[in-house]
Amino acid sequence: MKKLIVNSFLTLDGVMQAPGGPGEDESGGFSYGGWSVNYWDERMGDGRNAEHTVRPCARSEDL
Amino acid sequence: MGETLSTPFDLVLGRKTYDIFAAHWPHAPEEEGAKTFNDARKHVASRSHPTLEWKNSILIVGDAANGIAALKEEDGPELQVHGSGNLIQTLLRHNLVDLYHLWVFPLVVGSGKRLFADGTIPAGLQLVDSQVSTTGVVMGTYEPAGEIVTGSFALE
Repeated sequence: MKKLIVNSFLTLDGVMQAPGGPGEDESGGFSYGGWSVNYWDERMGDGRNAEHTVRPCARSEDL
Repeated sequence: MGETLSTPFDLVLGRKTYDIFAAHWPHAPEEEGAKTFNDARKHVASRSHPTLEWKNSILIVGDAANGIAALKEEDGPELQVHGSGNLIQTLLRHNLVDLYHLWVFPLVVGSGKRLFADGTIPAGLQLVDSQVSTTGVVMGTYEPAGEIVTGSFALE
């Protein structure tokens, strides 16, 4: 039996849309893409590789 | 996310998140941890039948909830979901999530896609780990804890 683990970045009002960059997901007219970017510190990046999941999204506007 | 990324894992991804990852990781430098993502098995939920060119990618054929429930029954590494907001709604409606790593950032955006959207099965959660970043991000790990138990503060 495998565990299924959901990893999510949320605003205080529970929104998970486009934390990593402006081009990640603009559906519904969402204009705050990249809202997580300015909160990253060493504690979040160091030994915890969550940044690996937002970095691709930060570049997704190149898609 | 968390320590779990340093252990072997498979990914379960919705189509949009898969496309974003697939455009990044095959070309990303090794020091960013590209090998881990490129080597991981990627199970992809999609209603269309896309060609999945990123190595170790497998389309979940048929109903996503049934397919993922069957995956969970197999032996193997844990299944990690990143992004994939639409797919997560299916997982929530079918009670398929065993653990949440939720990082809550100190801001409100007013509207946008929610993690726990309408249709989520009401449930209690137990906080099993938490840390706070220097920037005020509350990093919590939660497990499902059964049905909601209500009460009243009214004096008897």
